[in-house]
Amino acid sequence: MQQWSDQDLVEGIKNDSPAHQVALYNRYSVPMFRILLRYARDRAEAEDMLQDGFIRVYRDMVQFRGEGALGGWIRRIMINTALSHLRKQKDFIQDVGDFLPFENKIRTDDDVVAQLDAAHLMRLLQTLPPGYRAVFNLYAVEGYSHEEIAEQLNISVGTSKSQLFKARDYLKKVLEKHYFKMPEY
Amino acid sequence: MPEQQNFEPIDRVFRNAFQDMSETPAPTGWDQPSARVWKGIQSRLSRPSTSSRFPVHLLLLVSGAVAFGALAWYISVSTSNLPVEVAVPASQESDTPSVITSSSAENVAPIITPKATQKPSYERAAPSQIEVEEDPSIDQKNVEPTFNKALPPNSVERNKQLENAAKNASPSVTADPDTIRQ
Repeated sequence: MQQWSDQDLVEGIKNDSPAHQVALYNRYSVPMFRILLRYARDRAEAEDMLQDGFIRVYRDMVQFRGEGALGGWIRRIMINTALSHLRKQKDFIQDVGDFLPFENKIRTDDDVVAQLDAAHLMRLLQTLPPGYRAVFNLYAVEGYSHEEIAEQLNISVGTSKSQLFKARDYLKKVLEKHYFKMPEY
Repeated sequence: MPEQQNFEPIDRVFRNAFQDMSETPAPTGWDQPSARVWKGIQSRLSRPSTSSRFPVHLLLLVSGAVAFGALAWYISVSTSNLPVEVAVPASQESDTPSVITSSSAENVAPIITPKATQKPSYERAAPSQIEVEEDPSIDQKNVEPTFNKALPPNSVERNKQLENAAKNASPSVTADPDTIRQ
């Protein structure tokens, strides 16, 4: 397959070239799917998000002016698509109950967590309620502030902080549980 | 902030794990989307957009014209079906009930249900059953038929009618003034 630059892909997609559409998908589908797996509850939902995200990318390509990296622009579209999917869910922002803190028991030293690969962590994230998952991803992984998260999810800053706290608390509990039950980590 | 410090290792674990992933897909294929994603994208891309397939402005224009036509037709039909006022003869005006403005018990007439033996109006109005009272002062045999037919002016029949009418009328005195003197 011909190797096009990002600029070539942009111009080709603006001209509705099917070959350029395929090339763009082949280049960015895997990294974008990894991102969406963190926001979705399972593979099927992540694939739905990916499909909608690429449709948006092709449709809105005329608005891309090349001021930033194409990968970053596509990544923002994918995250926005994931958030709009999550916002449609009825139980998007909810409280699943408070857990007791595990600060004395949790092992977060590098020796322990180094054994956790991305696939396992992805599965742990997918066990979170959608609101916890979205806020934790946006804050801890993407680096957004609580104000930005509140604006994107249409929630208050306090709700964003509360969801983040509960997500972290929940992950601590699950990590500890998996650590003691699955020593192969 | 103590909470932030306690949770920082958790954040770092996830951040490092997802940022340090290799560009090549995992051998197990967990990070590769299935083929149905691209098939879905292809089918949606090949589908023409709704706006180009069906112009919305044309739809609005046509529906507006249809609605306007229906409204005009409804107005014309409703105005043509208005009840026509019939002039009531003066002799019948006294028979019409006056307007009752109060609903006291005296003004409310009892509802009379028609009897089962009463014949419908169209049977009672049959001309063969109408009885006409004869006026005894009029000699029915010598009554001459009246000319109901309107004859055209200056026609032969019309002129004959006028002549006969003049003969039957009382003769006017046309005496000569000289004879009157004598």
